[in-house]
Amino acid sequence: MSAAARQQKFSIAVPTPLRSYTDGRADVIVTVAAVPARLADALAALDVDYPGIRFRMVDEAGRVRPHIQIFVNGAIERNPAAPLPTGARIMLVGALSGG
Amino acid sequence: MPQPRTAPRRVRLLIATRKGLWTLAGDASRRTWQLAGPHFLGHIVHHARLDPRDGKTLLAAARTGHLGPTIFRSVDGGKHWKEAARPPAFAADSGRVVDHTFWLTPGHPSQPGVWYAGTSPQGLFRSEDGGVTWDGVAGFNAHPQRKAWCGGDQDGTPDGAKLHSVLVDPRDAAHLYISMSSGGTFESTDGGANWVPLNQGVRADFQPDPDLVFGHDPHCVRFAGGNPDRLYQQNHCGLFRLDRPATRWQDIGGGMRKSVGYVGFPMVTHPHDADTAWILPMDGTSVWPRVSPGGRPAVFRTRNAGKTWQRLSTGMPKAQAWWTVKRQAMTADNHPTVGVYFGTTQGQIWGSRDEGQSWKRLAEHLPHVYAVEVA
Repeated sequence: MSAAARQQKFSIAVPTPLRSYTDGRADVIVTVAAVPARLADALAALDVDYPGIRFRMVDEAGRVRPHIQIFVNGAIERNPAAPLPTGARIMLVGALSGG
Repeated sequence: MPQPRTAPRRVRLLIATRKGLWTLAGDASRRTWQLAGPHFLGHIVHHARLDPRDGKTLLAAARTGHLGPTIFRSVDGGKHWKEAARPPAFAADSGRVVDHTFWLTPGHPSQPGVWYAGTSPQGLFRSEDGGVTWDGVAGFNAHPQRKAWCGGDQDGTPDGAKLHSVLVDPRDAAHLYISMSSGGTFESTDGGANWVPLNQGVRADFQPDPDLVFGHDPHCVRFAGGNPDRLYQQNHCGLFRLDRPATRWQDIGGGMRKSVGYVGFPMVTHPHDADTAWILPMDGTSVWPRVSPGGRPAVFRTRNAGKTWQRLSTGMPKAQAWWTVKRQAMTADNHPTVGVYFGTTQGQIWGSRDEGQSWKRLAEHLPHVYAVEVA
């Protein structure tokens, strides 16, 4: 299988606090070449398309920041090394509770 | 007293707040002020500075409750902003992460494009391209004693331990000072490759060792105006002055009234007179209310390098005013008769056109003010 054929596309829902990076887009598509594709690969691809967005969500140690929540196909996923199911829908949420 | 060589510019204040960045521009007489903004509404802006070397580059250190820290950068005086391509961040294997960039200092005039940033937790970063990309200063961040110097989480300020008061000797780009809450003041004479503690004579009442080498809590350290061999320090435990090459700080808090005390956060120095400085004390008694002592805010000024301090409160509320001022939220311009400005925890900006003698409220209803700088 060619490298191009192995590429997978994932849709990512972008919350309002991060849409300054995506020109206001609430949903974007990223392309990942790695097999298996992992959450970290999708976030890296997102940062290639929208530079700077990843560091606002993931710290320099590779951990998802405390008030960022990530859902993969509706389930919480905070492990960047988690593999992504084919065609997974990723949802980013700014999860800051309180006043 | 020596006067500035060039006519002072109109004063514009950069006001960094818990909810964004504003500017406050004065007319030539500094009587009328125009508020503009916000930039980055909803961002926690800890500090914003103008690059005095080009007069147009601005950097702002920001984060939000959700999002990690970044640096916004403008090269046209604030008309347009773009995010740093690589904001300050610790090495991936360091086990530490930057919570926020707390302090920004433009570099030496001989090094255009160089900036320094202090972070929470304590880290020192340097940019050589005007703030677009940042790298850790390994001589500090990876120093074998760094962990001992900085202490543990319990030693930090309420919203995280900080590296601040990055000072660049105007005579020597390689001569640097930094201060940490907690950690103390440190000096480098080789551009940041190595650091030594510089805390002799500074009290640390919260530590059992009276001769502590490091672990102190400087709140704000500034060069004296026109004399970079003199440093003034507002500390958690008092007021101090250091005249180099001496290495022992002198206690200059004895002239403060006992009813007011010597606790506060900002320290502002006169741009032309090394004997003059301003402070704004707060209530550091009992459980540290961190409000104006007795609800009666006042600036105190020394004209004799800290021997005595004069209360200056004309124009300020006489009672029931319970705000205070953070360490970056007080500054001075460079007019022949210096203007002094501060922003409060309750969103007011106060200014004095006569070196603190009288005060006027220049703006109000802003968010909690974190920093005020002249741009």
